[in-house]
Amino acid sequence: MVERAVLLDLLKRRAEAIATRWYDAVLAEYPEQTYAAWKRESNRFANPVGHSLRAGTRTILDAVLEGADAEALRGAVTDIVRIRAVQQMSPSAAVGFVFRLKDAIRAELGDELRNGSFRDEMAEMEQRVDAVALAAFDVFAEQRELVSELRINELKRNIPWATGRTNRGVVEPG
Amino acid sequence: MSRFDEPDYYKKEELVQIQPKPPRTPWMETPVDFRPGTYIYPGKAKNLKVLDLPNPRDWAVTDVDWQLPEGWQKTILEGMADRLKRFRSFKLFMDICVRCGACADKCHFFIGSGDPKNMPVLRAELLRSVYRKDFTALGKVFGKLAGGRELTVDVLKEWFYYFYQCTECRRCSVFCPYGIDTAEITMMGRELLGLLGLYVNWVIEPVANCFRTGNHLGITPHGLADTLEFMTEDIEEATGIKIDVPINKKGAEILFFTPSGDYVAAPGIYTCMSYMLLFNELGVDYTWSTYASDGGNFGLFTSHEAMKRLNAKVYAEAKRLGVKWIMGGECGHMWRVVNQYMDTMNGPADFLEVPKSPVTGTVFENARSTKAVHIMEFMSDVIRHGKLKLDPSRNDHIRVTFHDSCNPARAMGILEEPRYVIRHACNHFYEMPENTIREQTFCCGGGAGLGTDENMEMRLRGGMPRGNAVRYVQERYGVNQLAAMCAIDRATLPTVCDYWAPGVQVTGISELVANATVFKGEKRRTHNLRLEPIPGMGAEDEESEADLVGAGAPGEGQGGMGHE
Ligand code: SF4
Ligand code: SF4
Repeated sequence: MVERAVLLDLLKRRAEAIATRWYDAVLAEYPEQTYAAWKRESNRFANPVGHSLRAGTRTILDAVLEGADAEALRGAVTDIVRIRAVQQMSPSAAVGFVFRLKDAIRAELGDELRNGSFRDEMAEMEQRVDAVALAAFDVFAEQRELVSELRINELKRNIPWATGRTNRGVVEPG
Repeated sequence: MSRFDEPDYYKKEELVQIQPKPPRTPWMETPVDFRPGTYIYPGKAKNLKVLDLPNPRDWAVTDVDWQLPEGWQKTILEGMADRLKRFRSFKLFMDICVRCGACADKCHFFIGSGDPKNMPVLRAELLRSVYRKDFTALGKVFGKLAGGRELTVDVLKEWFYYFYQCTECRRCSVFCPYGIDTAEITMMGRELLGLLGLYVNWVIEPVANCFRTGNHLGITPHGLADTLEFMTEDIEEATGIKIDVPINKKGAEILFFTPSGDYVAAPGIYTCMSYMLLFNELGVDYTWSTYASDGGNFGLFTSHEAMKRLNAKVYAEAKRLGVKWIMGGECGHMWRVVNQYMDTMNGPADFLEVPKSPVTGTVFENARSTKAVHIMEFMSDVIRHGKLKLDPSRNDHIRVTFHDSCNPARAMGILEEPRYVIRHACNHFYEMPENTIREQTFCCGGGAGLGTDENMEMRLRGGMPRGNAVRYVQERYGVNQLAAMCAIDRATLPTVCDYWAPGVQVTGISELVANATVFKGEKRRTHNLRLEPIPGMGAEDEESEADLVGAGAPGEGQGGMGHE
C-alpha cells in the first residue's frame, strides 16, 4: 500500500514530463513535416489536432492517475479518438497511441524503476492504461459508425416532396 | 527490446530518442493510397458525352488502368504549355514560390489530416515538379536533380487525388508573401486532368445537367414551379401569409436566382422560403427564371470554358425577360462567378441598369459593371433604412455564430453585411475566434465539388478546423446555430457539426430574418419556417411529440425534417 502511494505520488509529480513524452511520441507517428509543423504551432485554432493531442494526452494521464471509472476514461479519450478515427491510419494505429503512455512512464521513471522497484504497482498502472485502450476502441467504433450514419443523413435531408415530385413524368436522357 | 523486468528496459535514453516517422520513400515517389471515403467517384461517360468532353468511358478510381487516351503525356504537356501562355498568374505561380513554408500549415486539409501533400506548397509542387522538368532549362538537363519529375501514371493519379482534396478556398494565399493562390493551381490541375477525361461525377454530372436544363439537379421548368409552389404552402402554414411566386415574368424589375441546393434539401429550402416571404413583404417586383434557375456553377470547378458556358444563361435570361438588374441569393461560389467573372466572361451587360433598390432608393455603385447585387447587400440596406419590422426576440432561443463562406468572404469581401443583418435579426450573436473567421475563415471542407457523401472521411478531415471553432463557441457561449450564406455550406456544415460539434444546427441568414420579421397580416406566429414550435411563443403545450421530428431532438442529428 505504501509502495503504491509512493509510485502514484511520483507519477503525479512527474505528470507534466510524462505527458510531454507521450504527446511527443504520438506526434512523431505523423510524417516528418507534419511533426515539425504541429510541434511549432501552439494556437489551438490554427493547429487543432496538435492542440488536442497535447491537451488530450494530459487529460487522459490525469484520469489514469486519478483511477477514473470507465465512463470518465471514455470522456477523456474522445477528443483524440474522434480525430484519429477519420485520419488515414489503420484502426490499430488510431487507438494504439494509448500504449505509448506505458513507454512514456517507463522512460520518465527509468531511474526510479531500475532493478525492478514498484513492479506490482507498475503492473497495476499498466492495467489502467489497458482500460484506456479499451475505452478508445469503443469510441473509435462509435465514431466510425457515426461517419456511415452521416452519409445516410445527407441523403435524408433531401426533401421528399421536392425530389419526388419535381420531375414527374420526365425521363432523364442517356 | 528487453522485457520490462530486465534492467536494460529502463535505459531511459533509449526511449527518449523519439524520431518522427520518416516516409518510406521521398514524397515525390510515394504513391497515393486510394482509401474509400477519401476520393470521389469518376465522371460517368454519359455526362462527358453531354458536354462533348474527351475520352468518355466508365471507370473506377481503384482500377489499375484508367483507360487513358493514346499519347496522353503529350496532351498534358501541350495543355500545360497552352495554359502557361494564356494565364500569366499560372506562369508566375509556377516560377516564384521560394518554398518559405508560410502556407504549409494553413490548409484545412493539412490541418485535419496531417498529410504533408495537403500543404499548399506541396500541392502546387505536384504540378511544379512536372513544370520544372519539362519547361525550365535547368530541369530539361538535370531532371530530378533540379526538382523535376517525369509525368507518369502514378503522378497523374496523385494529381487526381490531391487536386480533388483542395476546395479552392484560397486560405493559403492569405499567408503567402507573394500572394500565390493555390486555388488557381488546383484549377489548372483539374483542367489538365480534364483533357484526358478525368473528372469526378459529383462535379461533371451537375455541369451536364446544368447545360441541358439550366440547373445542376436537372429540375425541369414545371418541376421548379411545383417546388416553389409547395414552399408557399409551408409559408402559409407558418405565417398565415399567402404569397404569389412570380416565374418567368417579363418586365419584372429584378431577376432573382439562387443555387439549386436551396430548392431540394433542408436547411436550404427554408432560406428559399425566406427570400420569397421577404420579397413579398417588401413589395419587390422580381421574377424567378426556369431557365436561369441555378446561380450555382460547377463549371468553376471544371474549367474556364465550362464555367462560361453555364453562366451565359444569366445575362441572356435577364435580356429575354427585360429586367433592370439581377439579384443573387445566399450562395458562395456562385457569387465568385457572378462577381468576379461574369462581366468579363459573358458581358458587357449594357442592356441592364445600375442596380437601385426599389425599397430604399439606394444605388449599388459597386455593381455598376456586373449589374448583380448579393441579397445580403440588398437586405442590410433594407434593414438599415428600417424597412422591415423586426422582432429579434423571436429568435431568442437561438445563440448563433457566423461562418464566413470562403468565396463571398475571403474572395469577394462581403464581411460586414451578413453580420449586420444577423445582429438585427438575433439578440445572441457570438463570433468564433478571430483566426478562424473573415479573411482567415476555415472552409467547410466540402466546397469546389468535394461535398459528396462517398468522400465523407476526407470532408470530415477538412471540416475539422471549422468544426473545432464551432465547438469552442458552443462550449463557451452555448451556441446552438451556425449561420452561413452559402448553399454548399448549408449542405455540408450540418455534417461537420454533427461530427465535430454535435448539437449545433445550420441555418441560412435570410431564414433568421424571416423568422424575426413581423409581417403585415401575419397570424399568431407559433411555428418557425421549419414548422417547429418557437419556444416562448405558446405553441409547446399544443404540440405532441410527433411534430418534433427533425427539430434537433437528442440523437437525431440534422438528419430529417418534418415533411415525411
Ligand atoms: S507561402 Fe508562397 S512562397 Fe512560401 S511556400 Fe507557400 S506558396 Fe511558396
Ligand atoms: S486553396 Fe484552400 S484547400 Fe486549396 S490548398 Fe489552399 S488552403 Fe488548401
